[in-house]
Amino acid sequence: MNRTGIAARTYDATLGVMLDLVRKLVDCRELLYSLTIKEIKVRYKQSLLGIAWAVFMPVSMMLIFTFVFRRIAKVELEPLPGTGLPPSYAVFSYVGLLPWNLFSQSLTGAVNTLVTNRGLVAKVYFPREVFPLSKIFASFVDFLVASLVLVALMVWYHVPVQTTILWVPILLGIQLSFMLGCGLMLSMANLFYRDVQYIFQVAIQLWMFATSVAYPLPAEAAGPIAGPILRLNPMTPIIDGYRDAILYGRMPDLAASWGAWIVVGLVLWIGVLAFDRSQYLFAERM
Amino acid sequence: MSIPVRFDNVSKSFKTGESATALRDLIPSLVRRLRGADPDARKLFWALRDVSFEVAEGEVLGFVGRNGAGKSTTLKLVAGILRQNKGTVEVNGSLSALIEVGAGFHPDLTGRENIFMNGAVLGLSRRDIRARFDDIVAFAELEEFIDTPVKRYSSGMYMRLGFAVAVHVDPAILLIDEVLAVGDLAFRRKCLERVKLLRAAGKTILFVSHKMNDVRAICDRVMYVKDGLIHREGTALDVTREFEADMKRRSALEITGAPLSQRTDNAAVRVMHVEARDSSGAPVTELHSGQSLIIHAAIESDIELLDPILSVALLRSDNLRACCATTRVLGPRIPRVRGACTFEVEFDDLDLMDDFYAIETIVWNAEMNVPLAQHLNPTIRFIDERPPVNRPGVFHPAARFGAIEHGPDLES
Ligand SMILES: Nc1ncnc2c1ncn2[C@@H]1O[C@H](COP(=O)(O)OP(=O)(O)O)[C@@H](O)[C@H]1O
Ligand SMILES: [Mg+2]
Repeated sequence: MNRTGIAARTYDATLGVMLDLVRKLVDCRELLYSLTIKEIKVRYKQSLLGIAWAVFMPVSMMLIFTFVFRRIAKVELEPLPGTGLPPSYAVFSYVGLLPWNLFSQSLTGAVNTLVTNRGLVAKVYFPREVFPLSKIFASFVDFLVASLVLVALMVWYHVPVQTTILWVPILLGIQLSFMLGCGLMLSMANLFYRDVQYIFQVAIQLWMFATSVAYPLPAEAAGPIAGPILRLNPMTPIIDGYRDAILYGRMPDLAASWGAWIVVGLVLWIGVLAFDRSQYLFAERM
Repeated sequence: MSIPVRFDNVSKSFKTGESATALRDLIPSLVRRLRGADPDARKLFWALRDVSFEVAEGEVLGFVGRNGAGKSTTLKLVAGILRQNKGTVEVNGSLSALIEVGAGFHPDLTGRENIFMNGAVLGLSRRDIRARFDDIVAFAELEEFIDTPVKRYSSGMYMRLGFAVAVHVDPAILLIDEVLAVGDLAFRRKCLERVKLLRAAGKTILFVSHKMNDVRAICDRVMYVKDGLIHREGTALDVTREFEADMKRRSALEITGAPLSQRTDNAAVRVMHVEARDSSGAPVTELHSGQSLIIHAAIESDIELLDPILSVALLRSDNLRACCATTRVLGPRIPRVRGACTFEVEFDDLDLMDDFYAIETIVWNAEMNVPLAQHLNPTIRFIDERPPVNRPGVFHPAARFGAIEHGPDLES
């Protein structure tokens, strides 16, 4: 087939699916931009709080966590290297909540994006990856807005900015790759089996408590069965990495979590491949 | 120069029947499959079977056919929305598709935002869309509503916006599937004019419609799709006529197949047999408009009928009673009937419109208010080779136009 024009090009995966994906996204950048803007507009049109919503979610969770895990559960935090005192729990949890919210919000959006956009999927052809991807981008905009609160918290609690903060983009890159793989798989699965989104809603809650969002979660402490499983969860080393880079001013120990990075690679590769191979079925399963 | 659209032995199947659309259904169905109880309850349904055709550059190809024939499936394969199971689909050139109503809009966004998104979907950059924005809005006649969310649009407004975007993105190939049906008459005209302009500009257009007049007006060539096959292919006039004839035959069959004809089977009075003949007396199933028709009928009565009235009517495929001959008006008076008998009625110079007509024969009581026996069969077709007329009426009158007498305006 040889349709020309951005919207109607086909990709034959001769260069490998990953490179193909990049080509698709370059071809569809206008569309991706439009859909992302659409996501943001629709979200803010539908909620009264508007852009403040992006801040409200992580901040309110931070307040609840601070109350529960500091006042009631009295979680112990590792002391900061310079002072020997533990960091403020508010900053500690916010540094975890920020990437976690990006993760959970993107996937919550991605899981039913193909189904809610069935009008487009059934009527026009273009690479369908742009749907989950636009959800991720839209959540990323929220993430950037919510990051301003982190800046404010760091100023308030006198957290110095250190050179290790340069690790943040690398960690973000790993996280976005993992999100892309998960988002592609989930949106596709939910198109074929519509109850995936309900299962996902429960799973993402459990997942948060199996990740070091609200408390440090050393896998060694979890025992011989749960430990290895927790080690494979990429979100824990990612969030620990952000804390190392931002709060503790040290290099994240990426090598120690090699199992989790294999998971990231597999999820991304399988997600991209499976999505690419089955997207021609999407329109007829609507 | 490459061919814009080519289908080579293309087949497309769908799975019919319930599919597991939830994980909680998937597990039981997998278990059943493992136990061999229900290997695959779902059957394949072939929506297109070995279809081959080519569309030349600058050609307008029409598709006609009943619902479910496979027209939309064909267009969706061209658009790349579906993928064929067998064969090759070749498409060369930028493409814009209007498949059924509601061309890919997001209900929560305004008309303006949707134009930009739709334009991006069809492959335009924001700058391109901005340059065409005013034309699109003017064409759609939606100036007042352009900042209203499209979920508040009527289906006609929806279609206008979709059509306006699709024709303004300047595609090399345009697919139009039944979208014009929801627009009002004035807008449909405008769209057809636009399609003609695009045709004149050398665009390739695939056009699906149930409005045969539209198909005839714009298509160079038409394919009649039937049960996933190309049943017939030819000039717009020939193929649409054949399609219309088929449709009429179907509805005529549906009329004659109605329980009416069996209603008086066991009654004391029966219409045994009715035959249509031409003026030479030979049985016919088809006549040319203007020829004479003879109806020959056999009736039987177990009781003695006094002063019965006979009537023979022609019911057009749309159930219109085109004409009726009855002994009550035409005579002769029939004093009595008993046992078997036959009669004939001759219709002279029946100049009926091209259509199918079911012959309805009724034996009435003397007052002609109680039908004693009714019969609806056979069906006869009248073939009219004169050019088709927009608002045909029932029959061609024996009429003449006089010479035109011009008023003073033309003389000056
Ligand atoms: N996604 C689908 N799943 C199952 N069957 C389908 C699907 N799409 C179309 N069909 C079937 O394929 C046949 C052809 O449909 P279509 O091409 O839409 O017909 P039409 O000529 O009216 O446009 C129909 O019998 C329809 O039921
Ligand atoms: Mg159709």
